[in-house]
Amino acid sequence: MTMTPGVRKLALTAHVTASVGWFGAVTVFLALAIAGWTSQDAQMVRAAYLAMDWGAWFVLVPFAVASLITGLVQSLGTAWGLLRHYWVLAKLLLTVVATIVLLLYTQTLELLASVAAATDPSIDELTLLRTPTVVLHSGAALLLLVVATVLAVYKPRGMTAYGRRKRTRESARLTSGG
Amino acid sequence: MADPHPGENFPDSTERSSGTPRWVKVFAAIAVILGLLAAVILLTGEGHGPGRHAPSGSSERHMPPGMTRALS
Repeated sequence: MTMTPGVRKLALTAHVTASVGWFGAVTVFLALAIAGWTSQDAQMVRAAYLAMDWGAWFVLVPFAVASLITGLVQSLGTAWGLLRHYWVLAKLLLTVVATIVLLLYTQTLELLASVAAATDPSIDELTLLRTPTVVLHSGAALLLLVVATVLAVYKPRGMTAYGRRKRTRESARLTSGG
Repeated sequence: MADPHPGENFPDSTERSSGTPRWVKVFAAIAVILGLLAAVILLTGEGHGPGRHAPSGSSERHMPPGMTRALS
């Protein structure tokens, strides 16, 4: 199921756009998380968590899912394949893990946003919002996306056992086909 | 027309790798360590879910004047 060059470029454009969009969204998220953690202004803290909750569902999750899907299309529609090369496999695992953790973490963001949205939050509740957890998770996500980008650009060598078997079979087929 | 940068956009058909590259082993080792760390945190911590962020019951609402002004 190899794509034509035109379709391949279109798929690549979609994947790069989704992935870069995801990276940018996480960067903004990190900035909001830092504001929520360190700002002395209660309004700023509450606004940051409300923005993060909304942003997670309407920006982060769509970009993450788009990056995953377009990545799958890219790998399956080109000679790289999904399981033949270690760098593709590693990128797939990183993206899947990041997406799953993001989806699970939306629960935390919803809870923090509900505290931020309270009409009369207590000191304890406001103190609750000044937590480094979102900064840590955003920072880790950013690092993970950087690693995925490095893999995509450098494409370090290494075929899986499946990839080597596949290549041997294809070579044999080409040879026998004359 | 031959691809000007073989291996960059397409797999290198002359690749002769016969084993697992070192970078994969290092990558896998780091992933295993991080996975074990996450498992330890999840299993031994007070809880890693959103519930740990829930305020513990109602508390007296004493707010300094500055905070009251900021919230109004």
